[in-house]
Amino acid sequence: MSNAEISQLMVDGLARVLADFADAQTMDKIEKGETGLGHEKLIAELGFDVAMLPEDDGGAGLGWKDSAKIFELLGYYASPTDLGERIISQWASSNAGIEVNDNAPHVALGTVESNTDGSVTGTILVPWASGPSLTLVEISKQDTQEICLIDTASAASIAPADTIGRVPSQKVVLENCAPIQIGTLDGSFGLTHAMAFLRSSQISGAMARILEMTIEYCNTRTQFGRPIGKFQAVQQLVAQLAGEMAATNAAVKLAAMGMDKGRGSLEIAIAKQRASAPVALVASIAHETHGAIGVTEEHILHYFTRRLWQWREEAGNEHFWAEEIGRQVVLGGRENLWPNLIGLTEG
Amino acid sequence: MFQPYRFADIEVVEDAAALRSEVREFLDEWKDKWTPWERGLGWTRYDRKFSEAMGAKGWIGMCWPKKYGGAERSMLERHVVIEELLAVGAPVGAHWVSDRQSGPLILKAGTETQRQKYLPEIIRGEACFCIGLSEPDAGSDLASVRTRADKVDGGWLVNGRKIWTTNAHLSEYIIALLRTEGTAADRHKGLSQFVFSMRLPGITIRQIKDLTGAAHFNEVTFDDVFIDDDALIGALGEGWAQVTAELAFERSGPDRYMSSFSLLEELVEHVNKTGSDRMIDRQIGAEFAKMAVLRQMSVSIAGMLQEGLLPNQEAAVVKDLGTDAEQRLPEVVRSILGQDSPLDKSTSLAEINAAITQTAPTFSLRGGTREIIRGIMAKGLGLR
Repeated sequence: MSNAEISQLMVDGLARVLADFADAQTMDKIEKGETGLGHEKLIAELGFDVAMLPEDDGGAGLGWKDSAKIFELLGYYASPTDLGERIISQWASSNAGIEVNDNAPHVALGTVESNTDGSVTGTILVPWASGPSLTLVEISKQDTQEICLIDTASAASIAPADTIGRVPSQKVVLENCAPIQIGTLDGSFGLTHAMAFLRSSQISGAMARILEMTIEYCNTRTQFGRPIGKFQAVQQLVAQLAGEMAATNAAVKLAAMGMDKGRGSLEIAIAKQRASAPVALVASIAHETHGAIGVTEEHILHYFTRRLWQWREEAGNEHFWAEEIGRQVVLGGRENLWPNLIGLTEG
Repeated sequence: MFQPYRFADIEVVEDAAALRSEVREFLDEWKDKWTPWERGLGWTRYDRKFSEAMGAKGWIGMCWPKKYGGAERSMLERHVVIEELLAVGAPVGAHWVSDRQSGPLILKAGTETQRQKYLPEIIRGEACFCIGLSEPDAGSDLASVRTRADKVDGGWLVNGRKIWTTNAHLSEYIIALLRTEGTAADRHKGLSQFVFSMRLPGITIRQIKDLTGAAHFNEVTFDDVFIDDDALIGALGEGWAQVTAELAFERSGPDRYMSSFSLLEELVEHVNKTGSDRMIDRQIGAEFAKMAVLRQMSVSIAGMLQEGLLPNQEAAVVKDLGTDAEQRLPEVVRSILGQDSPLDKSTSLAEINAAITQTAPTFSLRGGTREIIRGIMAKGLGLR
């Protein structure tokens, strides 16, 4: 079986599990930190967290393009689980030679500074952590992609974070915290880039779901004696939403192809920039077309739009990455502009 | 997972690099002659000598069968060539329409006689085609075409008017959508496509100056123009379906997002020399990201065309997003320059920006207005 076939089987299997936990009530319970809802166990049994590890290490040897399908599917179901983070965690630990037991450590958003004594300092957000835990963090370095494993129990402070996304998370302040292990990621991008790719893919999947819900609502909600989707003003909005979704989807593909070829740094920057930038428009069109019902607690739409607002900020928002891309483009000057653009698919 | 679009994963063209450098070498001999203003005008700019030189290289109709003079190369290889042309603002107007849509239409729906008559001439860069679609009373509402072709002995008599016909005054041929049955009230029914010479008696061409003072488009009047029976392309009455397919070619290429590329280049050059800051980096980075993703989608569409698919919906997406990006770029330039831009065309950047600012309104008109395109997208998404 090819990797594409394997990942398709995995996606189908995961979709069957997620579909049963995709209602507003379950999402609400997850956001309130309830555990034992059943899906965590079912997903753990699938064993997908090691999807990117080599087959010799018990994994499925998936590349980034294949994994993106899993990440997008998670976004399509508003990610009621940390499977995406776990896949990244297993990939990063294995890649950087950090030994972990069967349970993948959490992955932090944000970076820490390395002190002269080897300890680290900084403020991070740990999604899906309900308290102190083992966590992978990127160490901010110029030319290498270092990560470390820390125990957030030894943090200066740790407290539940109150985010727009409302997924259980901890805000952790590390002061001269001694890492348990330190490693270097082999390749052309670090942990923040990997998380940016995960979030881009999730945004892409969530946008597909938002578009699907919006089309369905426009075809069923009747006003002035006909479905609102018959009005040109509404059609123009939905078309715009669809275009932005398609572009986000293409941006993820562009990044995944580059990453699978051993590049990825600029491609990921483009993907996260392009995924985060249209979130405002996509969310506003979805809510505009759904009307007041779409902003009620009981409607499922806000689980997706709040995720989008959260994810666009995490692992670098569109402004952060645009600055990064622009710096390179300006430095490259006129003569490199076109070759750099071509190099994204032909390098 | 819901996915209304099929943008295929396209990997690199095998020998893209070799072809690319060949095209760049060729363009190096030409590009210094073009002023910033000319580069800003992009693919409507007509230069027959340039088109003939392109033809000699085998880069017009390069995907068509060898028996008509084509090179049977792939759509992806063609994509390499045309994006290199657009990147330098080459004057491709004398063959662009022929290569992009007239030739492919003749190849697909034309008779063997038509193929042998027109394709070799296009391939040599000697046949400029114009598109006879819009009329004074049929713009976005194209199905209300009134210009008629009435059956007479041995052929057809054409009467009526076409308008906004780009480069009609320089074209050898036209492919026109004409009513062969019924009236404008019959809409899509009774429309047929014909190919014929623009030099026939009874054809009057009136140039229409645009707001820059230049005249690219025209009004073409047909007054009892006699065309032979073999001018009909495809089946009688099937014109509408053929036009829809033809428009997919018109809407799907990199010409739908690269019109402002020369401007981005000049902007990067300017900022590289005068110094950047974080906010400037952000703006340029965002434009670069947009273009990178549009290109990814455009390459994907070329791959789908190669596989014989008709990516109408995907093409509509690229046209909508692409023309939006093209049109915004002059405003990005203004935002970055602040008041430091000269009030005349005394720098290359100002000259190109003047050209693009004034032609930008047409970007989202040609090939179907933004609103029509979004309507097509909405319909494709199942809004009914």
